[in-house]
Amino acid sequence: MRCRDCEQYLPDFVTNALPKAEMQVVREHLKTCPRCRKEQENLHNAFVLLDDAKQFERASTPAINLLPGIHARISARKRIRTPWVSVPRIARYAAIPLAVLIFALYLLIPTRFDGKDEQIFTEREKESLLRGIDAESLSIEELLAIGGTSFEEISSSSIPDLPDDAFANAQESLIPISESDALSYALITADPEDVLESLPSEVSEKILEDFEKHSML
Amino acid sequence: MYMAYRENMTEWTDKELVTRCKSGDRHAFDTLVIRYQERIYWIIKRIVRNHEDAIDITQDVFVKAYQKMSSFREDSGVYTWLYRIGINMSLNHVRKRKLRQLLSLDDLSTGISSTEQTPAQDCEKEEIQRLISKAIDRLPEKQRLVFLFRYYDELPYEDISTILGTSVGGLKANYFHAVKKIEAFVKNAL
Repeated sequence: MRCRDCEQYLPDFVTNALPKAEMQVVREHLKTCPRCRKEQENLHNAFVLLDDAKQFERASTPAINLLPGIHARISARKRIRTPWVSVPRIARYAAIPLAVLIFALYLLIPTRFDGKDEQIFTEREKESLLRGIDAESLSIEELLAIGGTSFEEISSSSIPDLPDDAFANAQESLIPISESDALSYALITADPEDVLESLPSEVSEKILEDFEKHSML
Repeated sequence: MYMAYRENMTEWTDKELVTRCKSGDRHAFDTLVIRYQERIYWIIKRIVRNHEDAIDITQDVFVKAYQKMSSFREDSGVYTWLYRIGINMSLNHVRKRKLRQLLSLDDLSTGISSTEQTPAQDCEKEEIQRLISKAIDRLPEKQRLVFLFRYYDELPYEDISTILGTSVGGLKANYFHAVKKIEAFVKNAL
């Protein structure tokens, strides 16, 4: 064995981490090589110091429990999907185009209301719908649905501001109702003040006019 | 019954736990954390030389492992995998810290927390420990890592070779030179 080869084995020789056969080869070399014996002695001293320091460091450091912290971080970073559940790669890749397709279909297919289904919009949705609304392009049913109401509801209680007789007249006038009238009903039931404020002034004036016209009936 | 299931889990092999983790068993993941948190913490602490940073990075290692568990291909053992994540994160942390120090964004002393610095208690062991830490710090990166893996964590050379991408022969030479340098540094300082 050459000294250079012996050096590579020495740390593990000193710490008894070598297999038996290699231990024997190193031992034989050390018998005949004072230089490597000196290296062995130095390494032995180093490991004594290292072992002492390691023991001391371990003893002076309290045990750790990182589970609560890890749980907290996982909860904080958790995404909608459970990250470690094995999902086939192809399904993962297909998920995004599928979502886009569904969204595109949702946008493309016009929504129809039969006037009987209760269509509930959140305030934000109502506001956003009404802000960009073009009364000419929507059916009466759709306009009423935006207001969260229907013909039946209009005829019963959704125009509380109207006097009783005016309400009866308004009820009668529902059948030939125009788009703009329907829009005003929709707006009334949506939340008149907020909605009117969010509309362009010419539109809101028109609606107010219609509303007054109905009140006068 | 459930408690018995959880208790049994501590006796499960890493492979069994990983399989459980992949199917969404949170307790299997917790068992892995409990099994390896100390070892991962210590190896990280020896690289970053700061208790708070080591705790922080160790937690991040397990969070990352949790998130990436489904993509863990099990070419190596889970411990080697965690180890590798820990080493990469610690080295990144140390490099960033050095960069910040170079740019003078941090005080030069921030690398080592107050808990690392020995108060003047004239404790010989503390002094030796401090010197050893300093000696390890001065080693070239590869030698330092080989020393940490081999001495403190007693990893087989084959595992270290997988982690560092170096031949076993090269690792043995690195280990020898690392111990020699540490010994020389401490001897000169005492």
